[in-house]
Amino acid sequence: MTNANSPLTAEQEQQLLRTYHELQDLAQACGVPAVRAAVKTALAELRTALDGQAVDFEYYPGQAGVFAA
Amino acid sequence: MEYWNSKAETMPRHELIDWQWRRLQRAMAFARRNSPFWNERIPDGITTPEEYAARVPLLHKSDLLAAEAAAPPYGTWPSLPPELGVRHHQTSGTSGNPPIRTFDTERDWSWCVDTFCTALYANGVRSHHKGLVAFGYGLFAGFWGMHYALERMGCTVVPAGGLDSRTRIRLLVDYRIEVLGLTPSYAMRLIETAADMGIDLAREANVKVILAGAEPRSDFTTRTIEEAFGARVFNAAGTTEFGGVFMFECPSRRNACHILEPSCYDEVLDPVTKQPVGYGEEGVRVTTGLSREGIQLFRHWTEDVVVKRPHSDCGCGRTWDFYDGGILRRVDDMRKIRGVSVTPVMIEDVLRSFDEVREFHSAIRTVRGLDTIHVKVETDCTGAAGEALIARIVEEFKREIGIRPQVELTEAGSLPRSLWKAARLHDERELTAHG
Repeated sequence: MTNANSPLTAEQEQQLLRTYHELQDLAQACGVPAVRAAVKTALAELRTALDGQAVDFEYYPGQAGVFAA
Repeated sequence: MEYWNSKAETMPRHELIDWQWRRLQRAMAFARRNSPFWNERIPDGITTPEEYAARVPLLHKSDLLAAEAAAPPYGTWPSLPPELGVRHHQTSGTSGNPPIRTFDTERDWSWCVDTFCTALYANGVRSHHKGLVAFGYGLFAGFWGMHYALERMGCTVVPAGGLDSRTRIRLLVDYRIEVLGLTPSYAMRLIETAADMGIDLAREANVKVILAGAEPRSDFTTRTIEEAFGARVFNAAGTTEFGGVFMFECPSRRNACHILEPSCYDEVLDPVTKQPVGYGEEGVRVTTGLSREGIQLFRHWTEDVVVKRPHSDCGCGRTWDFYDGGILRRVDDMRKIRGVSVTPVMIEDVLRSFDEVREFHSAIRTVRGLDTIHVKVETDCTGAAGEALIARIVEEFKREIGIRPQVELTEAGSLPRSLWKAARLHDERELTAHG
């Protein structure tokens, strides 16, 4: 059995990237500590998932903005 | 074959190399912009991997300690403010030096956990399994990542920090644990403890997969652990400085430890000339981290002696090259005794082949001006049986290593046991030269 031939589809990749950007916006704008903490954790996990799929995106903070404490 | 991240693990080699280089360029740019330490060490305008190797100096532990001393606790090398850290870790400092201290941002930690997931998934761990991580859960990074990786994968983790060996054995048996993480030294300790408790681990426990990592071990030790637990053992390693797992053993080929190449750009250099060696040749691992943001690493002279082989020699479908046998030894582990090169693993290999040996401690001493190996062996054998054991050990040393050791027997339970990494070969030549 192999999963080598069942990669993320282009549509799924876009979905992942879109979610990532939406959460970035939310992390910047949201003032509720509990929500903001959850979003930042989700962002960290999504970043790892995107990277594992070799997606080119703003990997380091400052490349496109957010990620301040 | 199933992969945690099929795209990254099976990417065509030329694409992987291009991707690594893009990641390295981004990492360098980020480090130069944010870290005073790296800004001084990484010149501007590096445009090829060859230039990178030629212009970026090797990073030694002494460089990190100096940077740390300049601005404690983390030094001048972080690329992000330590306030962004969500975890602190440090090396054990057993070499007598101050520890190397690091922190992980939330994103760094997510990546670190993913490196453990990659290794565990490759070795058959799945969401329905239960895992136990037998380590101290302290300052040392060790197996912290494995605990969180098991959680991420959906496994049930039984936390076993701060427990004694007997309690851990009971947990293994009572909770039908399938996945176990520990050092090889501590695995040997658990085997001994289980025997003392009258428990046959292979029959009464349910361990299927053991990540036995973080220190070199002999093949004999690996086989002993596998037989005692009735489980498959795989090797994996990471470092505090790197911040995650950098290699793991592949189930497709014994001793083939794949390098997590999307996360680390590894060179293997001749220890003297510092020039690259080819596939199949021994050299020192020099690593560059491509994934961490808070604390970055460029051209770290790890002192790990390795032999790299091309991915195609494994056949599992991964396009990541591998270290044959993992970390063979530390570059400073090798000792010359009367012209013979001896490593701790060579001694371990000989002594572990005797069923009567429960534990051992070895030292190099100078006796009447001559360097010799002194071995203290813990055994139940006494009297004539003890004398016969000594003779057989001496003979085996002569045959395998070429040196006749001094062997001393000591009663069972008298030598200290390791809960983490064991240091079984001590160089006491300076202490004994005038004795």
